[in-house]
Amino acid sequence: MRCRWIILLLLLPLFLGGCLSNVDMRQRVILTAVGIDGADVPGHVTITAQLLNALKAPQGDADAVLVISSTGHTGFDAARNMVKEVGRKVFWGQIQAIVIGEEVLREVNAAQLLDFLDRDFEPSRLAYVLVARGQTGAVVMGCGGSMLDSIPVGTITNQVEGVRATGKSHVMRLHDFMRALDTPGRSCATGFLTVTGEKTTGLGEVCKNQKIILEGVATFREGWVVGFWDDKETRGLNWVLGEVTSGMLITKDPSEQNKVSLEILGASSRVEPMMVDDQPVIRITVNAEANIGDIVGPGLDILDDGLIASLERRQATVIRNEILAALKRAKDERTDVFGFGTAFARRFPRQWEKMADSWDEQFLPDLPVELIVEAKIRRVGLCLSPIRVQ
Amino acid sequence: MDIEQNVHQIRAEFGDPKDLKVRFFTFGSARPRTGALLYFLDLTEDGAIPETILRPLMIETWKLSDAQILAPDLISKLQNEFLLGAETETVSGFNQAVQALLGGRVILLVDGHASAIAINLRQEHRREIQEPDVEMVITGPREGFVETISRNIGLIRRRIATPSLRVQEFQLGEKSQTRVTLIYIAGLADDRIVSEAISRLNKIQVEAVFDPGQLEDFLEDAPWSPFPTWGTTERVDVCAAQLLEGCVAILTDGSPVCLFAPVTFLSFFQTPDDYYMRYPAATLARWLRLSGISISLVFPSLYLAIVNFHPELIPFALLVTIAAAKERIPFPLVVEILLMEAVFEMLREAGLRMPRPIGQALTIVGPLVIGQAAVQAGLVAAPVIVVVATTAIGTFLIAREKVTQATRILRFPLLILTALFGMFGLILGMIALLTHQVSLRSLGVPYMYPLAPLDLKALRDVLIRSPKWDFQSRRVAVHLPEDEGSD
Repeated sequence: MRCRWIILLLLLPLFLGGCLSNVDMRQRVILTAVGIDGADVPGHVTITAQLLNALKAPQGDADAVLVISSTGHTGFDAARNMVKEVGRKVFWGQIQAIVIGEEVLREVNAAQLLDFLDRDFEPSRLAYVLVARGQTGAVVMGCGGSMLDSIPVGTITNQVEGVRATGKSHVMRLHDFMRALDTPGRSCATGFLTVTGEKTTGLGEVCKNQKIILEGVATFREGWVVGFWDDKETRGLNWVLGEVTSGMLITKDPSEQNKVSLEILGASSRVEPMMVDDQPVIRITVNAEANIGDIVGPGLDILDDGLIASLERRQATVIRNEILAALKRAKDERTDVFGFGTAFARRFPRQWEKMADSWDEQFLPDLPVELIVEAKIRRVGLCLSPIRVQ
Repeated sequence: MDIEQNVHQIRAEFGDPKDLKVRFFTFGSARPRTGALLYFLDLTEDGAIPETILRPLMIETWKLSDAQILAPDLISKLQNEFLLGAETETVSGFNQAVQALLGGRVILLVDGHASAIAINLRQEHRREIQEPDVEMVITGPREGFVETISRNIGLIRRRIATPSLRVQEFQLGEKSQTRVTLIYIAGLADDRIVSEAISRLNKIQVEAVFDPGQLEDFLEDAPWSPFPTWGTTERVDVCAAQLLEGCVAILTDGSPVCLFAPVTFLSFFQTPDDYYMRYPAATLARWLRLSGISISLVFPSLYLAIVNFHPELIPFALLVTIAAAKERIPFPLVVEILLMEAVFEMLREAGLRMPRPIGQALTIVGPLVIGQAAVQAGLVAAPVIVVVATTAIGTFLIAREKVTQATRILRFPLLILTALFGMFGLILGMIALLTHQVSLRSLGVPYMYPLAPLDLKALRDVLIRSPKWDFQSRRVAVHLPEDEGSD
């Protein structure tokens, strides 16, 4: 009898969603990336998808993906309407990138646009969320990507991974994006794409002439896009978040004759919320290390006692300027992309309750920030002074 | 009493065959008596008959007086004073004489006497001792059992020179009357295990025994289980090692196969040369074999579950490759896998029984059919070939054929469960399988020992073949149910 109950219990999970969808690979079509836009009918949503053409994808032909647009009342409705044209079951479990058009983001809140991706069990939460600046998501979906990648979305994902070498963008995954939307005292900031070149191919096919470039970040306030940050401001954000792992810092030596570029080896940051006289104060400590990458100019004496120290001070100044630019932009836009509010909520939960409602409007713009940057130069490269051509 | 009549009766019993030889002769001086020798050709070493029987009887009996020849104890006198055969006995009944003849003995009838003498001149065909084909080792003894039981027992005695080696003989098979022996080392083998084995042997009722495999059905604790609970070996050193671990072994005449028990599931993953090789290599080999069984059991099902039910688990680039391969295939994945598995099993079975010259043709056609052609024809996707081939390699990794057979059989129900219920079905199947294994016993010893009941020290020897000075004892830990209270 007990045995029978155990068997019954073991069989119960059969009814859980997602465990029993037996779909053969041939009846599926893999969706690699999706663009989300508005539609002609107000309030409707258009979804543009890059669907994998499995037979052609490994060769990297222009028809490696099929680009399809469909419209519906909501994102989910539009997604389901795709079946009308495709016929196969669209598989969302491996979606790599979600690109939202700028226009629709000004009309519809991001949370509403992405709800269907967050609610359904299938879409991959690891997908990158990106904004198409001055473009629709559909246009980005129509871009063929780089020749190096066999499928267009490969270019986007490679750009997202590769941008870590410069620290000049910051892309959030769907899971983090939705969580940040849901967290008080924290705003979303994710990379944006720009498109260059003219489209030369027909609908449904990608165009290799059009190039996508990943730049800066688009910032959000309460799910609405409010600004597009440039390289400098974006890296300022990354310094504070501790997400600069590599990149270049350009400065000059004290004689102002040589250009010195520093290769960032890594950085760490600490954000400490404090209450001073019942007013919130934030202290940011950034530690950065770098190598000398190159010295361009008449040359300088690396062995000079004070040189490295002064280069380190200059390095710190560059970093400090980037952070200050980011802070100013955030304060102007009243968007807390750094998550300062969350830091307060965690450290001072009682005081936070009073601040929570008016954090972005009242407290953030006047938030005093104490900024400490410690920069170190670790290695000077393999030569002491530049080769003198004779 | 009349010798003609007796001989006739015996011949009639066998249907007067040509290979039953009868030799009449007379012996004694003054009052010669008639004697008759009966024996089967080939069962008996007939070359030895003149020297050991005829010569003493026909020539040496001159010195017997008439009184002695006529005395009723003539039979025992002949047996004790004249016959040179090493093993003689008096048989009195007709049936006894018939059995003795079948056992390769020479029957000596004497006119006027109701009893006869059976002289053992059995001829054994002894195969050369060879290395068993099925249990190859890299280093270690090459000695394998042969078909002659007396030699096999001798081989064991040569390796275990202790008086406590016990050899208990049974005669099984109504028609075959096969000698079956139970071998164990008194003091090492647990008494309960020995008596259990004896009682099971005593209960066996069969027509004929040609191989211990025929007895295995009767000896097993769980005959319906796909898992073997008796180990099999043809190697003398393995048998000896098992005896020293406290196992009982069963040998039957006419077969080089030795059965031994108790065994545990994990012991099937140890090979004899594990203990002859250096320990790091042996440990690696053990891990390989354990992964071999996991692969051969679940790999096709796992592939099916992931590709059809959970493609999100596959790295994106790999998914693209799999999808591309699958695009042109007309069958559902499960059909594809079943098809390939079936072809592989057929090839394997065909290769097993194939006459050697034809086998070559099979080895050429087989890989072509399974591999290249099936993919090019668009019947099977290339990744499926890789999966099936890996599975096959996994089965070959398992050292013992018996476990391989179990995994070959179990692979299919697991695959079908997976096709129906996905990953969930696979896990459910594995749970059921493990539950079954845990409930098994081999001659009363838990099959999954040392995993269940857990014994960390013993488990270490399963996972790591540590140096010999490091482990204390390799004896089978006998955890019979009644132990649990008294320990």
